[in-house]
Amino acid sequence: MESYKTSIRNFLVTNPPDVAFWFTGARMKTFTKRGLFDDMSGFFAENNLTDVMKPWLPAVSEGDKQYMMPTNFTTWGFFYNKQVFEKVGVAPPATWDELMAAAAKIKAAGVTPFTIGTRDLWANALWFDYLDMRMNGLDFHMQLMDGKASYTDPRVKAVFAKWGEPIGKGYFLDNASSYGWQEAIPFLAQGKAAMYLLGPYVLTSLPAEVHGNIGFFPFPVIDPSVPKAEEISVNGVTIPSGAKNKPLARSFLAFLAQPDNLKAFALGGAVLPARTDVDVSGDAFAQSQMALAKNAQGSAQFYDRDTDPEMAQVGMKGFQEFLANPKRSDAVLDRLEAARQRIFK
Amino acid sequence: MNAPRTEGWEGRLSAAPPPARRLGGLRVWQNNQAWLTPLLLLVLPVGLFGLLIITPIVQSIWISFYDWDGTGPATWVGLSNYAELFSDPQFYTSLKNNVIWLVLFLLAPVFGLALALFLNQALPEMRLVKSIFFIPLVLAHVIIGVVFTWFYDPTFGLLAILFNWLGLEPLAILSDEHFVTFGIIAAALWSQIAFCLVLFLAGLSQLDQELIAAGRMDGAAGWSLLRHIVLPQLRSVSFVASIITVIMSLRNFDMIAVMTQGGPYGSSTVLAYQMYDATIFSYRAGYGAAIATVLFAIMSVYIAWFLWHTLRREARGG
Repeated sequence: MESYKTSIRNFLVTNPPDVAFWFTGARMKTFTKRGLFDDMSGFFAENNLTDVMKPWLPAVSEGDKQYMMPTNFTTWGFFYNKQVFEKVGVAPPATWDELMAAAAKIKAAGVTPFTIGTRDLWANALWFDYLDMRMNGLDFHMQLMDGKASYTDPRVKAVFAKWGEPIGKGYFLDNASSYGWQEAIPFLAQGKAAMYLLGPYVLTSLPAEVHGNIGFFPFPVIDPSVPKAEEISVNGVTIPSGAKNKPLARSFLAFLAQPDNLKAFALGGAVLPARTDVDVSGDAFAQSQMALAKNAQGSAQFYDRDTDPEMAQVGMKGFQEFLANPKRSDAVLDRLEAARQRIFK
Repeated sequence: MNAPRTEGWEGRLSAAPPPARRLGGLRVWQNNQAWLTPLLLLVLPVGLFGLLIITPIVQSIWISFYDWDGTGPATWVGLSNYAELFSDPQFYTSLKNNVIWLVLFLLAPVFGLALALFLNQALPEMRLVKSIFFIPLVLAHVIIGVVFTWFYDPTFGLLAILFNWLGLEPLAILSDEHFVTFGIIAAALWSQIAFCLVLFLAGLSQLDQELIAAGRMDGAAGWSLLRHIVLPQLRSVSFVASIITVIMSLRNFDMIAVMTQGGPYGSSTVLAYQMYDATIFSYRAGYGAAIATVLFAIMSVYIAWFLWHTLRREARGG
């Protein structure tokens, strides 16, 4: 997965395949700007997909043209170990204060409240995204992603101060940068840690018999006056401009878009199919995620999908440093701001 | 030394009986053979060298003057990539790490020689011991990196278990900005020592036994035998071992990518990894090329020294 991110730029230019899976949104625009993806605008009407895929079409559009077919979407939130919660006597929290109170109890019981692996950087960005969306709202968050707001803004400093509370109290897994995002999952499964803010990859990384012990709750409310936006990352599939068998590729995508096929494709990875008419009632986890997405009052995709790739790299390194050394928050934010000014000039 | 051989070679040619009807092309060939032969023989290697080595170097240097994302249009920015690089704190961290790598990597020839002296004994058991020391040499760097990452794992790793057993708090080497580079170097040294060991073992098998016997007769033993009889004969091996070690230390990238991805927060990054990070993750091919050019300039110093040394030795006929 990590190496696919690096190789797609090469194969799109030198040896384009007939279809390619990729992220939507800003990450898609990186390639559409350079004309590497085929215009698929007519595809949705031809295959009666315009209505059933409507919620995800903005993510695959640039201007009034569509360049990808949305296939599935990932929701994010806290995955927790049910046995640990039961033993310590805490319920899934709905507010930040409840979350901190639960973490305090869990810590007192000798269990690490939050496991996290930051070696490959991105898992940590969820904390920043959610805190920023819950405290400052989606609009400010998107301004920050577009490089229009400053990282030294008092509102961003407030996010770091809030984030610093659980860090300062030692609620996070020690030496998080020693672990990749997957290597931090066993702590959760073994009951050495209680919660992991991540996506459904927690489940796909664990054997099925453990799934029953892993629960889910959305990121808690911090400021009730701020509309509850969620992190929803939409994935899709495209036909590269240089593809050799475009008509064939289109008929394959039309086949993939059929409800049963899209459902099988998405649920296999524990993510949700990007069609409103797919029946997921047989899968309790999928249902809860679908509800989360439907009730969201706006959504962002993910830090490294919403902002410039270079800004994302600098930013996520900064978050990694902040998690290890919360005292350096001002230095980290100054560095991020300097990077923002250079990148979004 | 060359003259007699050439004579013999021409002699053989003229001794062959001339065919009754000579083709014109053959005559041209025979008249110009002296300069055509080397030309034809050199076309392939020089062409490949130019295509695969020189062209990419020139291209990289050229790209370093552009602001380019790797796929789209490139904008000429002159020296501003370099200006940015020299004011980038990450560049100095990488450079400092490169120096640490370079200095510590020079331990590899030293340990390699020591091990080679120890293993160079005609005992049947030594075959097994030797093969154990060779293991890191046959493993890919990526595998060594993964194994050492598990070894260093502060919860489940062998090192953590050892620390716990001694009653100490496990040290998270790969998460500590002060230790992380040393942790990776230790893993890389493990395989580099094996490499030097092989070179020195080969060198030791070439030793002139008569010289050693003569030395012994003159009363040399132990340290003085090593210092005055053995080491001088290993000079060229030592030279090759250290120069390759230096180059390996500068180009090391794979272990860092596997073990820490340059982290935590860039503290184990070296120039080669920074170049990769800039080009691949930040989509800045121009900036990456500027880093590559600086790295190339640093390496050139060693390569020039190596060439100078080799040419001088060849000129002396050694």
